Amino acid sequence: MTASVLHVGADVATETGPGTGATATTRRSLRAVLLGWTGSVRGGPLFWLSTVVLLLTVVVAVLAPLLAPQDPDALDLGAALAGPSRAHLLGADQSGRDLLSRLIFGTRTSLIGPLGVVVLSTVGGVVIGLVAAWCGGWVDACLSRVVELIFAFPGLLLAIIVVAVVGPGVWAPMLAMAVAYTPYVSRLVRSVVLQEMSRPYVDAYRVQGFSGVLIATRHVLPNALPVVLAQSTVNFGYALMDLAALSYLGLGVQPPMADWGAMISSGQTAILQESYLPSLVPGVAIVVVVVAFNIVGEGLSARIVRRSP
Amino acid sequence: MAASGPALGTRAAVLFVGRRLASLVLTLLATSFLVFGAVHLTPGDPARAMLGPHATPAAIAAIHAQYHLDDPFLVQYAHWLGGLSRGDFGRSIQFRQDVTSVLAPRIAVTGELVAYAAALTMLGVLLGVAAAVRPGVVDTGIVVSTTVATAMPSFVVAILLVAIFGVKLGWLPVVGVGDGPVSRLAHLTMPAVALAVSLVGLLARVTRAGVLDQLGREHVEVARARGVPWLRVVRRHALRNALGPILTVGGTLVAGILVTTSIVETAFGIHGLGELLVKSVAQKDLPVVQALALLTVVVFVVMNLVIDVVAALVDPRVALGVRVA
Repeated sequence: MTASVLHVGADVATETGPGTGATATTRRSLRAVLLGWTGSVRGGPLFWLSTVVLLLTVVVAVLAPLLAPQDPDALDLGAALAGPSRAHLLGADQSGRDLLSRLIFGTRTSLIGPLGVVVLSTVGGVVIGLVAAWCGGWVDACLSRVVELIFAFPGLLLAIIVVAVVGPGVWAPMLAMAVAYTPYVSRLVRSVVLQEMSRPYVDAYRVQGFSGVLIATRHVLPNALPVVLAQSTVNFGYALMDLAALSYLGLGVQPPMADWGAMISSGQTAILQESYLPSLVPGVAIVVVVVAFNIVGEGLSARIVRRSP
Repeated sequence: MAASGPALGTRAAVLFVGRRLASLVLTLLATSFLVFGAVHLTPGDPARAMLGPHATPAAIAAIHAQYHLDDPFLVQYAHWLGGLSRGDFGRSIQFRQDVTSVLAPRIAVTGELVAYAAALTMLGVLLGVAAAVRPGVVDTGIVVSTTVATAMPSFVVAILLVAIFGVKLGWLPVVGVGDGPVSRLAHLTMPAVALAVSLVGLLARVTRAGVLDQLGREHVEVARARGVPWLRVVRRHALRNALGPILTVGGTLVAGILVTTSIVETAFGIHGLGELLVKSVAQKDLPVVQALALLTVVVFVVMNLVIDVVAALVDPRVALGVRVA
């Protein structure tokens, strides 16, 4: 559930949706957080370093079969919990599988899940937010109520319920998380579109007789998109954390498939035998990638805010 | 934002709380309908799940009659709601007990864990203020460490703590909850820290930004020019004014801890509500899942209501229930 509050970035734009007085103040300050925080970061070495980390992660995921020194699923009980050696650069897990190879292959499952979440929630959020802002009236009111309802539901809880009904796997948690993340995107899109609609160019197109759909999709949407993409980048990191948590609980990606969350879970018992690497290595991988996503996402939105008048 | 009249007029406050309670009831109805509907869609006969594979047709028919399983969906839903209003959440499949008596003994430990973690989360306010008033090394250090802390999932913190303090140093117990207050505190320390780390990071960020924003304002300058001691300026003028958003974000974070406990309780083998949720999902014990889901949403929504009221009490500029147009 942490997800629902982790989205500090969701409030880049002055939100104009329903809310209480208290949230109005929050919004302003969250915006300040974003600006203050990234002021030291944007365009700096940290931003570029994070970008490189993310690009490398993607390359590793794509080239996993070429990069992995061994078969990630090959069992070798003789090497169980072996420390780092020439044969196993990071050592082996409790079943003697090569840790480095599992880490490399785990990059795939750990990125594909959040990618699905981010793509689905971005598309869904853009459609809902655009329709709500553009149509206004009862359409907006109905959509806003639905969005509020989803907000009342912590994302992790939603995913757990869906898994309880459908069973564990890659798809159920991913779809549930996509639903849980959609409100953050739709709220952002709605507020940005409302801002855009008050600009003169929209009226200018209207006067010239362009249809509403055309103006909304061809002119308003492209202007709103950069902010949305910055938010989606931050969401990617949080989705990665949430999905890793689910597979850590045994509700997501199922063994023997290599996944960072599942690796931490299975390596946990080894800690008690003072063998730290099997769970520490994937843990560090998660933290590094999530930090990189946060820095890049917030750096991007800082650039956008700076650029716009 | 059009705030008219005194922010905390009794009438406005009553109206606000009334409207929020009404929306709470609606949210709960919608949630219960969704939860019940989702479980209803699950393939398989609940009676068979309850009685096991060797049940006689007569026994299955009896369960069907007892739980109205042959009635139309909406009638079943109405029966279930009626049961809820009497505190009857149905029977747990894995424990063969009433759900209420399965939940009851686990509430205390989860409550203690959440309270402990919430108390630790408040450290974020201190860190945020420290970062805001001490630019330079202190600020940079806090900024960097909270950026990393924010990205640390509770289960990663959990394994780090277990590795360092549980195994390497042997300072703290790794599993269970212990007997007696001192042992209980020792057992819950690592789980609470695991829950709190990322929240401390977030709260520190919000606090730092809010206090920095206030420190740059005229009223702070005036207070300093008049010779008000620096600490007092920070506490009474900057932090006090920045408290609204800190409370809102802090409260939402604390409300969220309830779900994260499922991860941490599993990691540390604590038999609380969160661990029960995970176990029940794995066992397909849907009545327990239903009850826990509803309970969590209630706490979550009520907590948000409380935060809004407290934020309005602390900061008179925030009018209750004013909608932003």
